[in-house]
Amino acid sequence: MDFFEHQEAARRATRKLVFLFALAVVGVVLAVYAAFAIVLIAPTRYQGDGATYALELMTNPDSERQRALGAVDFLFDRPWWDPSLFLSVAVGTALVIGLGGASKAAQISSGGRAVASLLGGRLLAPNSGGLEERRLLNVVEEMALASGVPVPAVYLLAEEPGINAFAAGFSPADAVIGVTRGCVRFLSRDELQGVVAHEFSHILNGDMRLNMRLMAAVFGITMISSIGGAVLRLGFYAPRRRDSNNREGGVGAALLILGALLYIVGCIGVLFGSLIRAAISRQREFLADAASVQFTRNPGGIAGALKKIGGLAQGSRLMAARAAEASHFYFGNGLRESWFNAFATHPPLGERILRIDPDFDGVFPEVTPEDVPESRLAPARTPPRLPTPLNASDFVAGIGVLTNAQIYYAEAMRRSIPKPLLEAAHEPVGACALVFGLLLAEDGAACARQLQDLRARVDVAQFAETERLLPDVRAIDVGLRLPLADVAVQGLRQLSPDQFDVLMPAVDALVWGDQRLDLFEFTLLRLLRRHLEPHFRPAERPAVRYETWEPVLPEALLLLSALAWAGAGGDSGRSTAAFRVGVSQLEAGERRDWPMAAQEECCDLARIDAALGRLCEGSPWLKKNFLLAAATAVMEDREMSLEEGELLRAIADSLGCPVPPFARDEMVR
Amino acid sequence: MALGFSVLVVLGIIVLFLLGIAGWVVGTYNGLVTLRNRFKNAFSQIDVQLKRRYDLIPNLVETAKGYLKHERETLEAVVKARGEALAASQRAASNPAATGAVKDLVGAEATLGGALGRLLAVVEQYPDLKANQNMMQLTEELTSTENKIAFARQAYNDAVMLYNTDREKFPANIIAGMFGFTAAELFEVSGEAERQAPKVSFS
Repeated sequence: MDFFEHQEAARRATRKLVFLFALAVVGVVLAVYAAFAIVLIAPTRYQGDGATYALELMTNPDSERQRALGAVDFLFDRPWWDPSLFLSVAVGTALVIGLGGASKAAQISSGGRAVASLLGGRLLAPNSGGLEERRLLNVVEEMALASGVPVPAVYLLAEEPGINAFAAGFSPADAVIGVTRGCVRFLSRDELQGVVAHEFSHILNGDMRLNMRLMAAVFGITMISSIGGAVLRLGFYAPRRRDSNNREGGVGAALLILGALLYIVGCIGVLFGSLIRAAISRQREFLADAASVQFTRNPGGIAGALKKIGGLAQGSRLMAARAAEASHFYFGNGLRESWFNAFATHPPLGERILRIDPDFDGVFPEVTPEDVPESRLAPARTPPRLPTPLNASDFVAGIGVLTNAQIYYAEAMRRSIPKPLLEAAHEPVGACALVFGLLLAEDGAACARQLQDLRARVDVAQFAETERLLPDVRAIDVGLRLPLADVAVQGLRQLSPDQFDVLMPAVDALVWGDQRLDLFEFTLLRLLRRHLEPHFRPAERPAVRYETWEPVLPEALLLLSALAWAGAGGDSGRSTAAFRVGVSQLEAGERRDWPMAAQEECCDLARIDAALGRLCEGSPWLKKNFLLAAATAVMEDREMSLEEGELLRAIADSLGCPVPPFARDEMVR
Repeated sequence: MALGFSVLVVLGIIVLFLLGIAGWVVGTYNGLVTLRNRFKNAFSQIDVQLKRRYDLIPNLVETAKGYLKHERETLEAVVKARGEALAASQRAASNPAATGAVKDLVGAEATLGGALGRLLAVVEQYPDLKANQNMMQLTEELTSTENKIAFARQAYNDAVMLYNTDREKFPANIIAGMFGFTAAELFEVSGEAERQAPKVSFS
């Protein structure tokens, strides 16, 4: 399965979720109706029975008087099926489930950060000092650079002694990774890498978004049992004694019965919820385990982590009260192992290990805290050669797929960034300074003008840091400029919204100061927008709106034209040739003579942004087809320059398709 | 039966009403928790930079010691103020929302800033020390860290303002009062002490 097939699979799973959810709602409605029928209809059918008579008396103390008044006939032989009762029950239940689900959906609508703080996570500052934390951040950063997704924010669940981790968010751009204290304490670097790779597989395969929906849906269904519990408690404290006041006593008893019934029905809801979770979540865990092995080429990593879960008394269990509603997010089973496997969100531990390590003998190791020697922070490995994509289909096949070569490569790439710059990228002032530095003109006079403008716009600290770092920024390899910006995103996320609102106009001023936009500037601008806006503005949830080419063909043609112009350097013959080859790949019907957009049109950044935004709402199949066409256009002249490659990566990234870096031998020194 | 049904409807309405209230309470509570987490997270960046500065100070004192034989008091004041600020920062870092934690840190920082200012003023009078390569690098780094602290403080104060405003709004303030969302303290440095100090001469 390639990246796009995984996305399609996630969409299918979402449809399955909707179906199962509808089924569960119907089941719960029927159960609620049955409960009400038992209370309200059954007594009317068996008048002679003393017990039901008492029940009737309890729920409705006035009925005795009514019966005396001659309302008795009304109670006889009422049919089991009462449409009006059913309707009110159905509407009521659906309302409760809907409201519950909607409230949860609203709560987590700000994306992965909301889930992380819900579960008690504390954001780790990217320049945090602790050795254990540093190691975790390094592993995550390397994995992100290797896979082409923005470096996710890392949250530490400091109160959780067990070994567990999760990934949450709506898209790679707002993804967060959460890791328990036990994870950083007990796992070796390789094992940590295995766990992080497992989580990255969830990020890359669209599982996170599915999990977010699952969380809201299941919360709605289980809501009924929470309400039942609340009503039960209310009934318990309400006055029940008949001698004080008849009416109030009746209300208390009715509340008790209703609460108990709702609670029991709610348990049915919980049952359905667990079944839905199990049906959707378990298979994806196996997939993520397999992906972890595929990414790291090291079965020992993830298998070792799983074995340590088995060996630790705490295992992967979570202490947080909220753990249950997010149990399907986690790496390991967050709850006590269930007596009945069908309801577990995760496959049994032994089975997971056996799939990775067939020689596993079932004996779990004794777990001791891992010490972190300094030397292990930067493992010295010679990076293997990265494969260069030979043709467009090679390029498309590489999207969202990680290999261990890329992970080693990312490690090496990170190390080849000079230390002062790497440090600066992890803190807010330095990160701003790096971005400014990357955008400053080489030419002395132009640079001086830009600096003067910058001084008026930004904080003293940012300006001083820009001047201090400028020589280092100028000195780095061109191939390291965008990876450096990727890392700097972490520092920039530490800005306050107000500070972010100062940063972006300053960046725009630097970009547009010379009245023109070059490829690097475009790519960097895209990167910043894509990776920072979800953090500072409400997270957008990408939805699939277009399944066919017709509605978005103009956008695709505009983007292909822009790519063709960008690669040809003003030569209209070459750009037309590139455009034609690209368009021939589009599976948009028979017609092939689509018009190419003029160069001026392609320079309109707002139009390009809008086109990318619309294309982003295409189905995975459309995106795959477009990226194939784009790569074909770029490779028409049988070569891909660094700028072209980065532009292609930026465009794919804008469509939510992360592309791992390709081979640039000169990048690694 | 008619009565049973109407009881049901009334109960239903009550349940719905309670549900609405509960939904609002939960929503407001969660909103406040989110904002509180945000300013707590913003504090971590101040903390990182403060630590960096606390690490620089012993080196600075060590370098200055050889030259400033007759300024023991000034040096000791810096060392003492650093120790107090370090302790206050550790308390604040463990929970920036705790009452008085940030305020204590602000106080300790002001003392440290004053002591450092006096030291730097003294250094001005020792050209040899001023020209010392190590000293120049340390003061440079100190200034840069100082700038970063100011920047991080600004981000932290932005987050605190957001939280405090939301906390005080009606009717969210009812929830805030019920669940103990106390007002967060701004990290405000009385700018005067910090900026004036280097100019004061004590010799």
